[in-house]
Parts: sequence; structure tokens; C-alpha cells
Amino acid sequence: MLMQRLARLQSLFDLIQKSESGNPSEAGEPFYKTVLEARTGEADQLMVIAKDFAEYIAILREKGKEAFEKAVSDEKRRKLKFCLRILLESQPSVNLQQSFLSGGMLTARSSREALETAMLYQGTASALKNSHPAVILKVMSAFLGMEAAVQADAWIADHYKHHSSLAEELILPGDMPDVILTNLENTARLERTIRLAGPQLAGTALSGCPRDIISELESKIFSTSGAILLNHDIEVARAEYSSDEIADAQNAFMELLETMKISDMETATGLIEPEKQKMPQDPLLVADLSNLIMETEEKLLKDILIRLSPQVIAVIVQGIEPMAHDRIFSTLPTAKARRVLDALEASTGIDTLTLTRNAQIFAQQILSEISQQHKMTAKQLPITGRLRQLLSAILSRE
Amino acid sequence: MIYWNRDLAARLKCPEKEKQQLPIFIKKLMVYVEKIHEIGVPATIPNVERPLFPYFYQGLSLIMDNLSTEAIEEIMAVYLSVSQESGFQFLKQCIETEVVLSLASGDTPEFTFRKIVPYAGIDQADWLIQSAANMGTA
Repeated sequence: MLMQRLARLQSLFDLIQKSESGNPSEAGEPFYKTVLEARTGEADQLMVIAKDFAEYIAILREKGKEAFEKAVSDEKRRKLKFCLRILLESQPSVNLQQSFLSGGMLTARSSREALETAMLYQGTASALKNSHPAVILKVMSAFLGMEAAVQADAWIADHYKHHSSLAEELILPGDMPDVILTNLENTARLERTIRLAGPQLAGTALSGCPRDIISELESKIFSTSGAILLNHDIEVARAEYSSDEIADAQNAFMELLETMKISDMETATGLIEPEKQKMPQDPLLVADLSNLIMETEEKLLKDILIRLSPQVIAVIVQGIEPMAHDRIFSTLPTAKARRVLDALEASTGIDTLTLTRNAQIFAQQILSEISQQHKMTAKQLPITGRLRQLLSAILSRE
Repeated sequence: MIYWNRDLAARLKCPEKEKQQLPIFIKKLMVYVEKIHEIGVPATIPNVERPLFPYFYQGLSLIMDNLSTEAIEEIMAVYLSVSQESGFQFLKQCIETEVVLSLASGDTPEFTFRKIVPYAGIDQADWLIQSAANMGTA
């Protein structure tokens, strides 16, 4: 995707250069070399154009089309005005390249103008996608190199200082604030979840959290611009979505975080060297216990898992095959699964004796649950031969 | 449809001898990727050697700016387009950017690694994957 985007940008630059003299061969140097002079020598003037463009978009978004139209009518710079009029009059689906071509806007008489044209083109393309003015300024200032990012950040911080913290508070009941709090110690997993969810879903999920939790998260994960954009996403979510929709987003976010946690634990187990894991060395026990979990009827398994402590389940999970591991986690209710994962994280590994004892607790629970269910109706416990064999193999161990 | 551009291809071209240095470069980047997976971007960024990995560093700043992957790609592509480098140095900048985009998408280190090894060419990629597998990284 990166290469495709670079190729498209290169094609745009080719068009701008060719228009400069009408003769491609005269263009000679590639775009990136010809714009160096303008990038360094006239960076300040070009930065002013980028900031002004972002300012216009901010007017459009914050004050509406009428205020934007009035502001545009006073604009004197030809290319800037042309781009603003596209935004005023066109649909997002407009063919921007065609508009620029037919408007004679791809003609550039100097390297400075070529750079300005490319910058305005990309800014307009970004605005048509409804990007935030801060994002648009970052795209446009990128044409002036990485050095310009500092100026762009300063403009964003100054222009949106009133968005650097949330004025309103909306708190929805649920686990989300606790989940965020418990992940603030080491934010790596939370960061990945936010990135995987994308700014919109993350912003919506966080929109139902207390202000202090959001501030804490912002200070640990985001830059000043990042906090401003997050607060913007939160404000949009609060304005556009109902409490139920925000609760749905929170559930989706927490599910994603949970998936990350499981995936991390699986990866960690795979990466730790066997001698350091203190994994049980008795393959027969691992096989018997795994088979017992796979053979146990679903409702029965669920009832037992609900009753067992997270610590016992955590020991069992460490001594079974992946398929049985998946079955346990797909059977456990989410809240209990979370507690098991916490117990797993706290665990320093297990030996065969610990696994045997906990496997026996699990087996006894199966027997006790079955006899409880059938004590009034049958003289003999309705256990399949296979299940009986597995239970006996585990319970007879010393 | 794969969109391609002759000038871009020419700009990316570099001698095989230089390309042979890519595995070392990729491995260095992967150390940061693993660190980010473990402790996160804000805790890792102060340790990134900015002069050696300027695009990677800048990209991480954009991740902290809470931008979508698409926006980060848009910005990084502009940085690359006006970069004054070509050949091996430009190729390295593209790899740094690819790593940033992979991190921005929430990829695991293994997946990030798989995304960047093709830049090293088929022979080197094969060698890289083998050596990473021996070290337990891929």
C-alpha cells in the first residue's frame, strides 16, 4: 500500500512538473530534487499557506458553510482560493486531479509554486475525506520536511487548546474504566488495542469513561496533538451516538483487549524456553487432563469452571493441550476469563505435582456435579466409559 | 490493481552489495519493534536512535498523535516523496515507514517482520526468515 501511495504521489508530481514548461524533457531533475530549494528557502511562506488552509477548514467544521463561504470570498491567493472553492462546491467524490487540470492549477512556473501546488492538492484531498484540520496541517507541512512538524504541532496545540481536556463528563456503568486503569501500569497492550480499534472506535469506547481516566490515559499514551484528537473523537461520539451504542463500542473494545491478552500469553508461552517454564513433564497427565476437558459435556464443564477458583483453572490451563485450552476459554464467562488470565500472569509456572493435585480437584468436581444432578434419578452415575477411564486415571495418581 | 511508477522504481533501485546490509538494518529495527510490543511506544521512543532511524522516529511520533493508519501513511508518503535520498538510503526510509505502518495497524512483531522482509529481496528474505526462526522470532 505504501508503494502504491508513493507511486500515485510521484505521478502527481510528474503532472505538475510537466505543466511547468509543457515539455517533459525540460523538467530534467526529479520532483524531490527540484523542490529542495523551495523547501528550505521558502518554507516559512509555504507554512503560512498550510496553516491558513487548516484555519479555513476549522472554520468550515466549527462555524459552518456560511461562515466558510464568507471567509473564502475575502481570500486573494489564487491557488488557495481555488482549492477552498472545490471544498465549498464539490462533493467528496469529486475527481480532484481532473478539477486541478481543467482549472489550470497544475501549472507551476517555479519550484516554489510546484511545491505549493502539491501541498494544496494533498491538503484538499485530505479535507475531502473529512479529516480533522490538525491532520490536514500535518499532511501539508510534511511537504516542508520533518523539521516543519514542530511548527505544525505548535499551531495545533495553540488552536485547539480548549480541546486539550474535556469539559463535559459522561459515565456509563460497566467495566471499561477498571479495565483501562488496570492496563495503565504497562500501556503496551492498551496502546495496541487502541491502534487496532482505530481512533473512531477507541474514541467512542472511551467517551463513556470518567474524565480523570481519560486524562490519565492521554498523559501516558498520547502527545498533545494526540490528546486533542482523542478529545475531538470523544466529543463527536457523545454528540452522535446513544448510550447503548457507546456501551456496544466499549464491549467491542474490551473484547479486543481480551483477545490481545490471550494472544500475548500464547506468544509468551511459545517463546519461553522449556527449562524455564517449569512445565509439567508428564505427557500422560497432560493428555488425560486435556481429553477430560474435551470429553466433558458443555453445561457440566461451564458449571464446574464457574465454581472453581481462578487460581485452580490457571494451573489447569498451564498443563493442557491448546485445543483444551481454547475450550476452557470459550466456555468461561468473560469476567471469569479475565480473572483466570490475571492468575495466569501472576503464576510463576507449575510442576507435575501441582498440576496433579489441581487436576484431581477438577475431576472430583466433575464426579460431584454429576452425582448431584442424578442422585434422585439413577442408581449408577451416567458416565461414558471414556470419561470414567479418564477420571479414574487422574484420581488414582499419587 | 498494482499502481506503479517508473521514476519511483528507479529511485528504489540499489546495488546488490548495498542490499546485503539490509538484514542487519531490519534486525536492528525489529529490536525496537519487540520493545514496543513489550513496553509500548511512549516508553520506547526516547531510546530510538533518531539519526539512524529518522523516519521510524517520526512515524512513532505520529502514532502518539493518535492518527489513523491511513493518515500516518498519507503523511509518511509525503515525507518520503520530498526526501532527498535515493537508492539504498531511500530503501531504508521506506522500510522504516513500513514498520511504522505495521505498528500503527496493531500488528504483532512476527507480522511486522513478515511485512518488511520482502524489501530485502527473495534470497535475503529467505535467509532472514530462517535465521529469525532459529532465534525464535518468526
